[in-house]
Amino acid sequence: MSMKELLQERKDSIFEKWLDRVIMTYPSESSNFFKNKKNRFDNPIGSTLNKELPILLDALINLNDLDEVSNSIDEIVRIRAVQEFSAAQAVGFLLLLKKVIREELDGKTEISVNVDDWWSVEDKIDRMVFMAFDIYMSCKEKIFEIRSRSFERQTYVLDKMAERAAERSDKGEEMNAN
Amino acid sequence: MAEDKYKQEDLLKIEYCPPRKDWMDSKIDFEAKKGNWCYSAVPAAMEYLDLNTEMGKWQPHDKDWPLPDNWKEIIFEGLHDRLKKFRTLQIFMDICVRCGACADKCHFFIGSGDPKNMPVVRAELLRSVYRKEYTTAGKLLGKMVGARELTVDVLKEWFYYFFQCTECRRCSVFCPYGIDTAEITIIVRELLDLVGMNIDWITTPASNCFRTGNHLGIQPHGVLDSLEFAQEELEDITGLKIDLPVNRKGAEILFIAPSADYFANPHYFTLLGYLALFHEIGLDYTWSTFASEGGNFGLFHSHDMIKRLNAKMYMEADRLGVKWILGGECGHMWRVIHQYMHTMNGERQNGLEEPVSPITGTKFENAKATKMVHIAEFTADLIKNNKIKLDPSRNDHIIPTYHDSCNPARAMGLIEEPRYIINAVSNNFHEMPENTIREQTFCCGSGAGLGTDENMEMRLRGGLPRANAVKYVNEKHGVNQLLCMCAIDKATLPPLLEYWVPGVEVAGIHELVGNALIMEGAKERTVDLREEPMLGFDEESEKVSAATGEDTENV
Ligand code: SF4
Ligand code: SF4
Repeated sequence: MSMKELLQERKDSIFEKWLDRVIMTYPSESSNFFKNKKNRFDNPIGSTLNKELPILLDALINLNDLDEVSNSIDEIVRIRAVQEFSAAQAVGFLLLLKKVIREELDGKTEISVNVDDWWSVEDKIDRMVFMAFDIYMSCKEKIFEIRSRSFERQTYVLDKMAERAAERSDKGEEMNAN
Repeated sequence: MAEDKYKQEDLLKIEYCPPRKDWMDSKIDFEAKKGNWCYSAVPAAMEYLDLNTEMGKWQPHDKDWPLPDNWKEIIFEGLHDRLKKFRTLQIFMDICVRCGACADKCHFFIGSGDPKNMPVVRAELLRSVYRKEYTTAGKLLGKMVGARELTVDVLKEWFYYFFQCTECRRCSVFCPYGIDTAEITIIVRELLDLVGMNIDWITTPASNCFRTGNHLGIQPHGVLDSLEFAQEELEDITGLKIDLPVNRKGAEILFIAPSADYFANPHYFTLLGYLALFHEIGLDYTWSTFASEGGNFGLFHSHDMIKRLNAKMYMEADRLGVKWILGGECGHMWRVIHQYMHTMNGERQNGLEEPVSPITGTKFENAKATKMVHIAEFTADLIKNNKIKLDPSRNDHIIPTYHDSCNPARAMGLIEEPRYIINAVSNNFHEMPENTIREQTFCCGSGAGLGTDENMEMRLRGGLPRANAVKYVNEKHGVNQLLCMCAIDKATLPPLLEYWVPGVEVAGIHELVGNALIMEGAKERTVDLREEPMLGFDEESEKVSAATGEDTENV
């Protein structure tokens, strides 16, 4: 069985376990909520994970061009970037997938996978982690931009008044010069 | 050495699960949690408000907090007084059955997964101390019955979590016993205030307000400058020199708006809307450069501070000799007016009368006690009685949705009026999903004095449920503007959307009223109040719509 077939066959179980692991990165008291509250507006985090993790898993199995899933990584990382996680923890949810796949294969002697295939899966996960890290950094930069822009908003009228006064004094100078 | 630090087998251990710990374990590492708390109050502002300044200059990430020696005594005395004074507090301490109905209703919990942001647990932070001090079981059995000692760590935990509650009251909507965690937050903040623990973003605006009448600390001439500037800008847009009555004695109505309306973006465009509307209906009213703030940061301090900052409204109404007060688009201002003003300052209502709209004759019976009417009620009544001409197609470049600000929606039930107005000034209104609006509205994540910069990460995750619903209507209907009627929302929703749903702007309802309003004698309008072009309003099409004003007036 090729690695691809194997992952395809066990996709649902890998997804379930991966989802559990990601939810376990939150305090244990909230896992029930994240997992079981179905309404997407009452539970944006759980529903984002439920929607995006399978897309990433699919990409791992079928896609070569990972750029197509950057939006899915963004949806998850954007949330983790404002939660109480370190940078490593924020992007590390992707590495949990390696662990889940390893466990899925572990001790199952009837399964033999080509080492190259396994490495290519690991490589893809690593690439996703790099993408996640770039997205994480762009989220943090965005937060800094937002902070400075909110100051500009507070002084909006003062700035406009100053602009108008400057325009007037320019005009005044022009008239004097004529 | 790097090799010593990172062993290969450690790197292969991929596990990011936080350790399980008892919720009573209360040590907060403030240094590690930057982005989640607010800077402490500056002593000068505390002093101005006669608050306890014994802590001097300190910050939450300092290792030792310079608490007064008798801090514990102060807290217990304060708690004791409040239990006697507020029956609600006593009841809220005793009757929670920990059913959990409120647990997953708080936006801070939904956005963080931190169990101490579950309203029931937030309340337990105080309740556990109450049990130890006031109940026999708690005294005898301690932790077994959820009781614990008040320690410095517990106090720090209060500071951390009660300044992570926006007093939005969403949780109370779901509690079968009507327990209002916001009220518990209000009390704990009062207790913290007694030992001198507060945050700058609450204390500085309150002291400004006490000094100048508004949170921004703008002096009377500054308020006047800003209003005159708005008058000039409106002349550019409409060609009309609108009336600008300021501190005019003998006016019928005093109008009070939140102070951000004078200076901030996008609040200011709403102010242009008010000015245009009042001019068009020929309202006999006045602005005041002294009662120049509708908001009341006292609400985030203590009941005493609410009363102190609120009193100026009636005092100014008395000085100017008006009959009643009209109030602008603000959130917590209305919580104060609706729930506290009459009880606290009612005796200062010299000469005020039950409000009657001079334009429609409508009696605002709901405002009989306070003598103060919300502008959404006032404008909805104008529209209902066909007193203004509106062309909603002037807002066709805007596809709005509406965020029910927590206070008008949950504290005063003002739910239909804003929608009535929006439908009259827009052809494109789309609601967000049902479980995120009206009484169940999700907070902006930054109310109750938390709208500062240093806690931005906390604000952004607290606002996630709100933004998530906006994103939905943005993707489904192309919504490009989020309307609201609260000054704090107007300040805090733009950053929130910039992060989660870039491209959606924030605006006040009266900004759209100002866009749609057909004003007698005005020049042909081609731009909106932001001076941005209106869809299809080149000079030709404007002529058509102005000429057939009757056809396009309210829907
Ligand atoms: S009042 Fe609002 S912020 Fe406070 S606990 Fe309840 S839901 Fe959360
Ligand atoms: S819903 Fe009310 S009774 Fe139930 S846990 Fe929450 S506060 Fe307690």
